Amino acid sequence: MKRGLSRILLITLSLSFILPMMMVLIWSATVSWPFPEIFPRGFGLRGFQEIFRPGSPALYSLLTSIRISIIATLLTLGITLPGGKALGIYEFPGKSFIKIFVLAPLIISPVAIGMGVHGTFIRMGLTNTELGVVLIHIVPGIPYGIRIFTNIFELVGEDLEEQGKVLGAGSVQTFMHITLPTVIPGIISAGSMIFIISFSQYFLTFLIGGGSVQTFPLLMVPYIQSGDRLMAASYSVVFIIVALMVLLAIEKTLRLYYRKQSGIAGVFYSRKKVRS
Amino acid sequence: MTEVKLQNISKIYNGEETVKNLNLKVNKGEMISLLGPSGSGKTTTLKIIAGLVEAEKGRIFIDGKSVDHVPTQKRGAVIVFQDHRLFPHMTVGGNIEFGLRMQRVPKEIRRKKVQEMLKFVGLEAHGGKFPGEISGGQKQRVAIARGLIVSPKVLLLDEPFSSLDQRLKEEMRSFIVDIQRTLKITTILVSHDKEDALVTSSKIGVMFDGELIQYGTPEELYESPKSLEVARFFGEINEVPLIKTEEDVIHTVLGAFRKKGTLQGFEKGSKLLLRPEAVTLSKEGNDYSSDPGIPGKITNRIYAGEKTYYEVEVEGLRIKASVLGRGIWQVEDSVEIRTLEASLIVCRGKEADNTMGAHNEKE
Repeated sequence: MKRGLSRILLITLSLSFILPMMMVLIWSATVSWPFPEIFPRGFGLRGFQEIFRPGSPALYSLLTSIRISIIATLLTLGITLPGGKALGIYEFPGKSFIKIFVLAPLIISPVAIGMGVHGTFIRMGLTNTELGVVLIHIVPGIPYGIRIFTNIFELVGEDLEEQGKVLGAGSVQTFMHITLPTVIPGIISAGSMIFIISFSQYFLTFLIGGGSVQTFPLLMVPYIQSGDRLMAASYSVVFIIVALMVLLAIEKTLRLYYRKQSGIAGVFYSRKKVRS
Repeated sequence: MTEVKLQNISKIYNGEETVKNLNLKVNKGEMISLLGPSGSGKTTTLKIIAGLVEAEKGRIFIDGKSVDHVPTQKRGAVIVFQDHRLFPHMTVGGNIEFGLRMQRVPKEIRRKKVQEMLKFVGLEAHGGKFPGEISGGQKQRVAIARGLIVSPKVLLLDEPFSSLDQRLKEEMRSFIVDIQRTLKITTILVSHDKEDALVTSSKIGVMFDGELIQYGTPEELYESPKSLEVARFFGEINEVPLIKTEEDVIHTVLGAFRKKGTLQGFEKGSKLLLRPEAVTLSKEGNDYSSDPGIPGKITNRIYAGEKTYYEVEVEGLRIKASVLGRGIWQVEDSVEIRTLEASLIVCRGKEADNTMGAHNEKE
């Protein structure tokens, strides 16, 4: 009885993810599909041809989007990794307050934050610039990064770093050879999340970029709003594939780094199983 | 070889003094132990020597030079921790190689040294495995090898045997003693197990509540402990109840003893202690000894293989005794107790006067 229930829930949940995706996929490959008809009138790749046509703004904005999101992700990781470490390991006054305070971007609406920052950015001349957009993209990612790294460092502690220092590793070496590899899983999950948040950001990009920084979502949303289902679906498919590819690339690179850290022994000594 | 000296070291953690005015000198190439119950400041002391923890007061000298401002990575004091702390993302070989890699030693030399070290600790076949794939004892060897490869000035061992089973423990003890004797590295071992300290070290320091109570050779600590606490830490002990003391004779429940030899140090407030193995039991009415025995009755017998432990009731007091092998006495047997003057331990505790009838406290 219980198993049947959980199976039904599982199927419902899966369908609720897959069906809309299927619709988007089908839509992206139709010629037209007027409302009451059950089947599309024909299949074609007009949407993709439009996106990938030479000189298309979509391609250009795709590159802008990837660039902005990767830089924003790196910066956010650079802030949240040490931040999470401090919150996870060290004791200092006001720690519990700061722990809640860094979650503010989750609690307060991005509109409010964006509006507040907008004024400052105007004064600093950061509006309508890519740098401004990168900076504002850091904000929504911070709570996720901090949360993940705090938990990881609470778990990992300082033991291995102490051991590294004792064996003669300086601060930079300790970080590169011990801290970083031990938190790789955290970097992968936090990095993916932060990248996706930045990559799909519409409102903050629009507010700070003022339309002159054209990211992919900025081109995509008007199609969705105007009801051009075919173009919207094509954009969505490209969006999903590119996001997945970048995430995969991030993960592969980090895994490679992790493996390199295992030491020469991994390469030079055979991994024969020895019976003892 | 290196000499290590701690001078008036104090450390305060959360308002509590975990190390109190510690003075310690370890000679070149010597292996010593810091012994004490958990929470007595031993591990903190190791971390202070390695520079992982900063002391509030005092100075540390390695080879006569103050290292108070030398960062951990340049002190040359390597700690091997109780929980091994192997880097999980590196192979066994990679772990051992780590210290050399940090010193930017060329790859070929690194490879050669790692191979040698693997052989030295008997792990040639395991260089390519990851820490998760080897046993506890092997992990311990890796941790030691990883420390040794950087030729540390001082080797600090934090409870290296506590996570091992008895057989492995004995094996590792002699392994470490061998290494230490071969390489002559100045070594400080921290343990809560008296046997670890007695078996491995040329000197032992006993720590209670952050204070170094006594520092000396194993024989000194076992045979002439400074306080009842220290004596108890090295095993079961009887406190011999006193009746009265005269000019040159001490009258106790276990007989009268002349103040000569070690007993010369006896003064008002001193205690007389007696190890269970120094109590001789014999048949009642046994008269081939000129020394009259004290009559007693066996109240408890515990057979432990290599030894048999007894409790003997003497004038309402319980005296602990032990004999090698299987003791012939059974509960309810009447026996005579005899004690040699030479085996009595005099200890001048700061505790209050030892009045008659003081009981042996049972731990």
